Amino acid sequence: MKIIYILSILLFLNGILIILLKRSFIYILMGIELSLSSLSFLLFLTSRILGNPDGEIYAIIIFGISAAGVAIGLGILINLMKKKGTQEIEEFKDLGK
Amino acid sequence: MNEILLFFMIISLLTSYYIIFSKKIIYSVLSLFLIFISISILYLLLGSPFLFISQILIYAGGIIVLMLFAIYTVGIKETEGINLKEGIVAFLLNFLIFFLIANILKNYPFPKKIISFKMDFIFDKLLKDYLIAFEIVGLLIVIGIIGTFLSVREK
Repeated sequence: MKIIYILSILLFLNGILIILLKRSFIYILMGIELSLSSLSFLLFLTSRILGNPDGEIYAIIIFGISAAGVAIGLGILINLMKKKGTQEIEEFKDLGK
Repeated sequence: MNEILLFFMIISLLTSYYIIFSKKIIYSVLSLFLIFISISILYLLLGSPFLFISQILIYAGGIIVLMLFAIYTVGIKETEGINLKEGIVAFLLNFLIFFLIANILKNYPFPKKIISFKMDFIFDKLLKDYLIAFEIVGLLIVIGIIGTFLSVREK
């Protein structure tokens, strides 16, 4: 059980790695989703280890939040593709001007 | 039992490394689908059928399909690979943080047998103690979808 717990922390860190290394918008969304998914798995596992059902309920709530997040993110992606014609985030440096 | 859990965990880890090194977006999204299915099987094996079903419904059925829809709509196929210098530094930092956390958890006493809850107990708690949080999450999803619709539509 301990090795599953530790490896799910590595899965969370890999989600952060995708966000840091990839230069494209859709990969950043994928990294956020992977991090949130492994985080809810960690909460669930912690609730099973400690014998407290609160962690499982937090996992259910995180599911809803990540679904709302990806809907907004894909809306932003479609708007950016309309405006700039690309999704590489290096091109969006002058967006605030 | 523990070996099956380890097998699915290692599948999801290897697939996450594939996402980092892959350049084709469709393959990466389908790999993410494999990760979500593996995590949902972990939920089932650890004794929570509700989280198994909701993981498949929300992540595999909702998020992946939405991502594939958006990718095909805007027509993007490939992306640039990772920068080698940044990649080495980020991987080293990643493993450093991981080994620090693993070192902390090394001496923590984990129980041999995990505690399972009955489904009606969880729902009783969700709809009594956490009712306002649950409703606000539902409201958040509706507001997110309406906001996305308003921002994407043609004027």
